[in-house]
Amino acid sequence: MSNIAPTPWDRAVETPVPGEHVVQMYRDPALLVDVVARYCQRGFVASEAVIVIATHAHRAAFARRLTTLGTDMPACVRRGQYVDLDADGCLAAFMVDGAPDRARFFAAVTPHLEHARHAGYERIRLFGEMVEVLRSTAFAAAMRLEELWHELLERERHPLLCAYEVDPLDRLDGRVLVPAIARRHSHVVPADDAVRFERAIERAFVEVFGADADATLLRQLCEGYRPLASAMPAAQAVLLSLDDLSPDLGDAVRAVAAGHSAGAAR
Amino acid sequence: MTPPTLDSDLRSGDHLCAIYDTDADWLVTAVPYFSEGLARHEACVYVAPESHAAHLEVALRAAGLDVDAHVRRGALRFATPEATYLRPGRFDPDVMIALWQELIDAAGAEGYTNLRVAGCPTWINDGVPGAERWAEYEAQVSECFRGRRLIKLCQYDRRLFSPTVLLDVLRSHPFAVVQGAVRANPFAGMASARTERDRCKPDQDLQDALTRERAARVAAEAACRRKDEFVAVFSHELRTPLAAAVVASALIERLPSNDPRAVTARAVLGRQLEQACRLVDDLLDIERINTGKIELARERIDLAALVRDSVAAILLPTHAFEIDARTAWVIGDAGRLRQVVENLITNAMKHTPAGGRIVVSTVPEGEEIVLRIDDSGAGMPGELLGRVFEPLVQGPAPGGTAKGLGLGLSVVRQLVELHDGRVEALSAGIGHGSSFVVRLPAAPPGPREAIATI
Repeated sequence: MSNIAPTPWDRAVETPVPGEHVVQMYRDPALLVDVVARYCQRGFVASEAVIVIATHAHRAAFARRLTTLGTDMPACVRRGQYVDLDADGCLAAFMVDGAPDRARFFAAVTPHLEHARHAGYERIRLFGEMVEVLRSTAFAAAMRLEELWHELLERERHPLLCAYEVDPLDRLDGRVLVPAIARRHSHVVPADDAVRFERAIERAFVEVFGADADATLLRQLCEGYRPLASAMPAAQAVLLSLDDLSPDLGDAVRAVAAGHSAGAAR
Repeated sequence: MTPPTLDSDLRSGDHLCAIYDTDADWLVTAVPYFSEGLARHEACVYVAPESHAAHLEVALRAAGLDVDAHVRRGALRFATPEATYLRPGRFDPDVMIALWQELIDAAGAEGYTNLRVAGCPTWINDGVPGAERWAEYEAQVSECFRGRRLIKLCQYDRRLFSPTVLLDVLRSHPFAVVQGAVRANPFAGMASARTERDRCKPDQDLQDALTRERAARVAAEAACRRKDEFVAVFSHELRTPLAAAVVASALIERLPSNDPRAVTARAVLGRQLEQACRLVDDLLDIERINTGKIELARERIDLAALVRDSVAAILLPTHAFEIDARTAWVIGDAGRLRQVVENLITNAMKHTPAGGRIVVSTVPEGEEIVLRIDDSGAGMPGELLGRVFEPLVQGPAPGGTAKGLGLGLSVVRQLVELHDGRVEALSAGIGHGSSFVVRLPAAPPGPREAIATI
């Protein structure tokens, strides 16, 4: 069962608009399986094709989860509505000297889109974690790959869901990875449990900046002090702003929030 | 005195020592000792290294006891010296006696008739800090728990302890156990064999000195803890407005100066810096008062006028203020008395929810002027009334804990006392509001009043 509280951010994952490039960040791999299965199932219900590019282990887990949700997976595969591709195999097709090659990338991905269209599916939703596979060893290459995906989405107008196993409340992940990833997506879903994440940041903000009216004003100013490249929950926007305004205080809020979030999870 | 026997008639407060020569000897004592305790529904605790405990466990099982059942229901416990005698990282008799008292209370709360303890303190030979106070501790146990719900058996391996140590501990145990039999301890009488003068005077003097030293040490340690706690809380309280100021100033730097958000950020910055200054000022005031560095510029002041001015300066629409200020002359420092009034009013506002009532009055009463601030706020429990003027002590506030260090009232008390006055806090309890009453000596009549009385 999903442990995600319903939030506006569920919409971005479950019913993405064509061209949207959504990123789900997670700490619990079980959460990823849950989210991707819901994403696929909503696509099937809407008569869309789904192309999943994932690790071997995740592909198997997604299929199992979809089956338990009542999806007839062999039938979906037979009619070309569900295509799952191996992330490593795809990467091998377009990585050159440790970086994604634009032409080879398009040559590797586009035929699968064509195939789905020929099977009668004009609307296709995509899930990809090649970026996560690359991220741990070649972060710059992963970000370049995100840009290529972005280019493809602008041309093809399909929605894409990406996933990263990063923790926005971790000092390094939060300061370095999250801003870079956020810049390359249209929608950011920063945590397993959006409500818990929001509460943890709220409590941390009070502890670091006080509980008075000025602290509330300050939070409002942080939320909207500059335009963001992507849509994200207010709590994540506050963290990004704090990192820009005072990285040490951003770290302080993250550290306190991590404690609250872990406490709430227990 | 007829010695009790191990397996029938030990009584509350009995303190026995057993000196043994072989490993089998201590089991001969310990097994009937604990068997009897368990049969009499006493909470039994054995404090020894795990190897000793394992031996005892085997022996108790061999004697037919259902050890697992007793352990499960908490009647029998095995504890290590590290978890008891050495819990603070060193041996401290006071801490240990407090721990026994805690365990006695806990056992009583669970319905046990006594706490029955035994142990082999072999660790005192390991150079543990504080171990040199062991004999003193044994004597204290006999003193403190005489007739109380503790039965204690101390076991000493003759092979491990020096004769001096054994003699010292023997003197503090009324009974000794020899090969499983309880006997009157002939060494326990050694002290009483001295002359009355020898027995009482030097020992009493020493005891008094020890007591004084111990009290001073406990007080110093408590003061040190309070200071550490104060520094931690003060740092946190100061960091909060400073953190807000840092972010506000970064926003001001990045936003166009005429941007309404920059205007808001500037206001936030100002308020937060003021708050930080107030905290530091309060702390400096306490330090100045404590070190006698505050000099009062005494003059003749109408406290009523000062109250009216103070209320006007901080009047907020959030609370309903009532002022009943009758002319009340005092001799004092106008700035410091204004600080007293403002701190008390701010305190009332902090602990009173929006919409609540705050009444400020000044009334001459005989040779005193009474300044009184009553609020309809959160009130205080009785135990807080005596401590509310101490630094760091805070009463309940609407919606949870009050913000700040709780220095304001501490400053009030010290300033009032500098004016030869006194202040007290009153409350009928949580939810019933609070009153703060300041009494200052009334000023002698001025020329006009003097003329009026002629």
